[in-house]
Amino acid sequence: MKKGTYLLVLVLLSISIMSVAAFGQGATKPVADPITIYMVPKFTGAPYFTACENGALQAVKELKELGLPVKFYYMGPSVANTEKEIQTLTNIIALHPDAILYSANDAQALVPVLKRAKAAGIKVVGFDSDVADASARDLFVNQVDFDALARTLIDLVAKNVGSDADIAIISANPHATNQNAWIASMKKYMAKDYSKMHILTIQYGGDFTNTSYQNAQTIISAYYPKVKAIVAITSMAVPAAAGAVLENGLKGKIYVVGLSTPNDMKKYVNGGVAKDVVLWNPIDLGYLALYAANDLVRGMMVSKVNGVEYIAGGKLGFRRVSEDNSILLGKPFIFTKENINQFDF
Amino acid sequence: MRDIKKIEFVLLGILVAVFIMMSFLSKAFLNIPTLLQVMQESAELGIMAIPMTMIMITGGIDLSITSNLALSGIMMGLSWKFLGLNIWVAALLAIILGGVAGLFNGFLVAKLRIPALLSTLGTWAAYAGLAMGIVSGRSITGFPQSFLNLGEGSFASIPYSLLIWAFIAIIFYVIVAKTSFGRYLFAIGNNEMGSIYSGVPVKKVEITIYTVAGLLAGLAAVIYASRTASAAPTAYSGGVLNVIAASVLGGTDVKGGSGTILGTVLGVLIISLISSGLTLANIQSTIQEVIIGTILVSSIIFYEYIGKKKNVKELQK
Repeated sequence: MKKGTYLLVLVLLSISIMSVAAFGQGATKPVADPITIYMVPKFTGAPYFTACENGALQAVKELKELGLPVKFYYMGPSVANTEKEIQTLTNIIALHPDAILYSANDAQALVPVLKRAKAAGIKVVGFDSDVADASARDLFVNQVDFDALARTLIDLVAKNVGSDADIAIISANPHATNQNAWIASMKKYMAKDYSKMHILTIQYGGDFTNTSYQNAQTIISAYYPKVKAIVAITSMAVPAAAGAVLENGLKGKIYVVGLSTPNDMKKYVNGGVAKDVVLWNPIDLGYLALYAANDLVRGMMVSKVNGVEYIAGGKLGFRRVSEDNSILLGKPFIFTKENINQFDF
Repeated sequence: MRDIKKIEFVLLGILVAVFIMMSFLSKAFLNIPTLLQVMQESAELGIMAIPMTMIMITGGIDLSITSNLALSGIMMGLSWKFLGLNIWVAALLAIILGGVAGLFNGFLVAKLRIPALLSTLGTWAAYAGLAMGIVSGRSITGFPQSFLNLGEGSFASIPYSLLIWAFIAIIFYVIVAKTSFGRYLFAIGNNEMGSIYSGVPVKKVEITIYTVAGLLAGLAAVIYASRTASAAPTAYSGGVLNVIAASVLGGTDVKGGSGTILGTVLGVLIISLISSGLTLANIQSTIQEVIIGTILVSSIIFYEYIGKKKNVKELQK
């Protein structure tokens, strides 16, 4: 088992070195023809997507140094708007770029336009938010998988308030796909590894700050001191829960953890109300997406080992391409007092 | 009173100018398939801007029109998926239901005399909420290919949705410009009380145009669903301002009494071609909005101060 892994890494490394070496020898001119890649976020002007853009720009810079120039454009609607995103994509298709990176405002409505892009010979790579039909794109760069995220949250709870803690959850709404998957995964993991940990209540704040705040108040008045931790799994709910805990003078008494962005949580993390915030690193997400698009367009740094495809993501290394043509960015990223101030999104 | 002929002429000039400027900005612009594709994506906007213009001529407004689109689309999807109706029957049903929702607006405005801004603001929220609630936020998908062809297909390389838009524009151009019904619209917009006393069936006319707005929102919903292969409760959310903007750029007076269908069609084309041309020139959408906003404001200034009919200007002096 271990041996096999080592062997695999060795093979992959040598392939990557060979491919770079082969490229260096084979090319009569030192610099390859530039390729054009468009990045279309759900909307521009959001720190989260700016972070994705910065990651992509980092990759562009690295590739340029490798003699693989990329003309990179970041274009998208200014607010979350499906029609605008479709129009932007339609226009970009007319420019015949080599690849398009998208984050879909609507999982269904973007399918036809992405299929048109693919039919026009453009490599279509998703990041952050995928479309429902995997055949509409060439690859999707998934930020983090559901189970890993759920485990990280539960592990943090166990580490901070014990493996027998009673917890409360604040979610978005009872139909939210992502949140329900996380809850199911948390329950499964708790049953397996922390059988003494219990979920006292699941509240739904509908992705609104006010409602989530009321949820947290309800949890505190109904379940404190029994409740040891509040796990908030939407970005709106974590600061709301931290705020409620602070207002009630329970800082340090109830452990608040959840999925949110550094800018929303800096105040509470620096103030010690919330110790950990879990998410992924959007800079790496944009970086990996751009590398993947470059690899697909240039037909390089994609390797097949034992029938499984691997794709190179620069400093992030190789990523396994799964059956539904997606790759995984990696483990959840934990923001703490030590690192949170370095991020701006 | 605005000088409609002058405004239409100016808009035509702007459209030509936009064409020339955009073809200099991007080589990809002057390409027939691209242009058709861009215009095709404006079909729903164009279709909804037509009744919006008629309503605004009477001095009203319909803020609920895009929520109505979302709701009608959802009703079509539901009746196809869960009642097992044929997709075209479901589409027809969506148009009729859109009409019913529009009729309700007309009832609020014409019978209960609630200002259009308020009554349709209410139904804007209500229809959107209803659409969202019925399907708990999820989209309906899996429509048959024959239905998707409506949004993707074309006749003599002109997309179906463009043909439908053109057909509707011609019909309503004639209605507004050539019939007594059209003259009633202007009469109501210029002087509602006077119209009532001179025997114009004001209530009937108002109910009719709000119902037409609903029917056409339903039609736009069908086209939108087939173009995006899904019926989404969030379809066109927030798009109502674009509909109004296209109509205003086209020379419709928000205060009522002036407007033209041809102008509105030109307004839709100008806005969508500018935004397309700027995207092709890699200009960010935030800047595009500034440019379109500037054009809108300057056009209104132009209409208010220069585009007036001579005799009216003299009267005002």
